Amino acid sequence: MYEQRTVYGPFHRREAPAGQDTETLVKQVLSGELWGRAPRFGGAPSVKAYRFALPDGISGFEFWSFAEPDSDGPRVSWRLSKPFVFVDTAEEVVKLKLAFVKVTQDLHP
Amino acid sequence: MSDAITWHSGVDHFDANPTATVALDRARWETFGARFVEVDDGDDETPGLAVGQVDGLDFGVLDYGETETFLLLSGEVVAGPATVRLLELLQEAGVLEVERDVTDLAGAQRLEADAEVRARLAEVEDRLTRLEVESHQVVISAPFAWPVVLGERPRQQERSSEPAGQLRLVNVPVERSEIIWPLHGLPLGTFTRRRLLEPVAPPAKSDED
Repeated sequence: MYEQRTVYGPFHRREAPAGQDTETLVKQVLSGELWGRAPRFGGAPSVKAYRFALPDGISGFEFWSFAEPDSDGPRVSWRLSKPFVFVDTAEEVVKLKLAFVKVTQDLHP
Repeated sequence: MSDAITWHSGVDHFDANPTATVALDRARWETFGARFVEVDDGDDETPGLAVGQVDGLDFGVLDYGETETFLLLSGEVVAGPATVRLLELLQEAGVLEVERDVTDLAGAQRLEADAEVRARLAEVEDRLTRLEVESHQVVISAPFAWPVVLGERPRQQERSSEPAGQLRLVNVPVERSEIIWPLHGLPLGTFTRRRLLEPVAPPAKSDED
């Protein structure tokens, strides 16, 4: 008997100096989680990603999530607490459980 | 430019969350007077933020330089009545031109309520259907009291020319009755047959015998 789990995607994140650097990627891959903080301009913490597969030639990673995003469109986010989305009020982050399917970003600093 | 929307200038902070994605780019918003300020989203990107008010409702527009922009609203509920109201107000202001129901765009909050009503309606319809079937069954028992011309020899009757959809009695042999009645829910003219096996009273003896 295998566990069946619904997945949503594909989504991807792109390498970025502050929010998606090598150190962050290693933590993400090891934990199976993607964390998101609140935007600096205001609002609640949320995990943000691009919809669709990682385009060719772009450094980053592609994943499927175990929870449906809260928002529609080319950029999606997970903000509300639900299975596989944990709102950590102490750390002021949202943690999303996901499955990595492709990593093109360099894992070595 | 729309007079219905008041835009705040120089606002670089708006405590709100994405509530809907609309297929309007920055230029389109700017034709309606939006004034964007570059802000830090904390994720290595600097989208444009414009904050406005329509009919007393504060909202934000977030632009990442794409063909879609994101509507921001304060509050916890993503797909709530406030989103529906905002979309309707933007539609009235001529900013949004949507053919779809704004509740679809805003999410499923109102649709869930509709689903509840629909479920209750379906239940009522189901009960009505069952009642109707029961009433048909009562009618079906009527052949025994039907004026089947008892006392005459059995004869083959032509099908009645009564309008479709009415209960009618056809081809009535002495030993049994056969009725045709419309099946509930099907278009008139579609019939189902039921044979009642209970015997009807035998014909009266004729003088010739």
